[in-house]
Amino acid sequence: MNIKELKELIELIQKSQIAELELEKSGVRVRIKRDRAPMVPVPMPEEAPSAPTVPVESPLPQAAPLPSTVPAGWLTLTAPVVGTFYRAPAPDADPYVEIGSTVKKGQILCVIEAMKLMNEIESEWDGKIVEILVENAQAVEYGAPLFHIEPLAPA
Amino acid sequence: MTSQASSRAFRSQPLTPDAIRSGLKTERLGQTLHVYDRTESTNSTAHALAKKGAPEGTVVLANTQTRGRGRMGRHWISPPDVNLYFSIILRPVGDPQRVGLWTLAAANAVAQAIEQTVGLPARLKWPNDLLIHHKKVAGLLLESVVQKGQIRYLVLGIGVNVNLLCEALPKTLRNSISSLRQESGRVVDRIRLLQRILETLEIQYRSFQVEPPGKILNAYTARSETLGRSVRVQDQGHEWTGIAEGLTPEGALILRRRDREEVIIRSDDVVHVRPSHVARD
Repeated sequence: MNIKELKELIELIQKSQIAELELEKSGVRVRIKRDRAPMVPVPMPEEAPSAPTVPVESPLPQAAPLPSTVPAGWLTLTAPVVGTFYRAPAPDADPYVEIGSTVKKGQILCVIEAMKLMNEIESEWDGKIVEILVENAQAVEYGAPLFHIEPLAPA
Repeated sequence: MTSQASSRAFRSQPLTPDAIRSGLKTERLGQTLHVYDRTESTNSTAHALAKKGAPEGTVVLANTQTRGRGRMGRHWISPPDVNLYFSIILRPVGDPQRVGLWTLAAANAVAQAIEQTVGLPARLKWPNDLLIHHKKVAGLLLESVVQKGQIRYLVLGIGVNVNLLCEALPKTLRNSISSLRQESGRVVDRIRLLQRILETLEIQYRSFQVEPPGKILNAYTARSETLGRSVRVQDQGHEWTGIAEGLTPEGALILRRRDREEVIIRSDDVVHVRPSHVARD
């Protein structure tokens, strides 16, 4: 696959409703994912034969990296510890918050578990949950963004 | 005392604040004491007290819990008169990241106190279950509240099966759960054990704040029943088996899978896989 083909492919997807596309051709795999951020094609070599095995830091998918753009006025609550993110106190319990929930400063938004220490993470602001950036039971790194909160009063 | 202690029918000592404080050699842990005959969960009560500003070292204890909790909302069996159920409010300062190690340090301290009291080796299943003869006799539940990257307070909940008779347990649990009385053949003084646990924890808590992680990890490793053995790890929707190879500096478990890949375990349930030829009945 050459650059021209790749460019055509991107243009095609831009015009379409496709959110994500993965294509394999002559041993090269390309995944194009549509996001709020500008689209970037990610060429993924099928196999890197000589590359050493990279130790897996965690078996669970890591939290997404910091999005480059956060709408003005939104605040980001980040993970104060490394661990597993839970949206509810128990698997069969209701989540602490949903998108659209109004929260108060000091209200518990989630739990991050590390070494069986359940860290209940409190909101730092009064506001509304506008985005939940991590899936339940997913591993998060220190500083990973967890929630976008629209403050009630300008921060 | 000995003949009385070994008799099957024993009169349980009432857990009163005076009896607990009498001879308790601590500076802070247990000096503020809330004792209940029954409460939903000592951890929940401790949270409420901590939010109202209860001092560090406050202990909440109940003779029975109506909704005793384990990890992720699981039930902790809490019959009256026989066991210990208590929670300690702590206010550690510094990096919340480091406090994960406190799980290991605290479990080690409780194991040490139990070992001294009953004279049987107490081992640790990663990270915070206490085993005697491969059966669970105590567990810890740690819950902290974090705001703006700082721990506001931490509740350390401890449940010890002291004089529980295993015939009181559902049959399905008798292979995996036991009590100090069951394993030692002797009735154990709950108050003396509680005092010893609080004393050992206080010493451990003080050194935890200043000691390098390596020292805490070495002490824990010496008591670990998980390291070096085959384990199965399972939690919400995934499962791996492998050898528990070691601990990271933060106290997470390093699992080496059969395909040689390394997995770092921070939160999942660990099951010790026992080769069938040494399986216990």
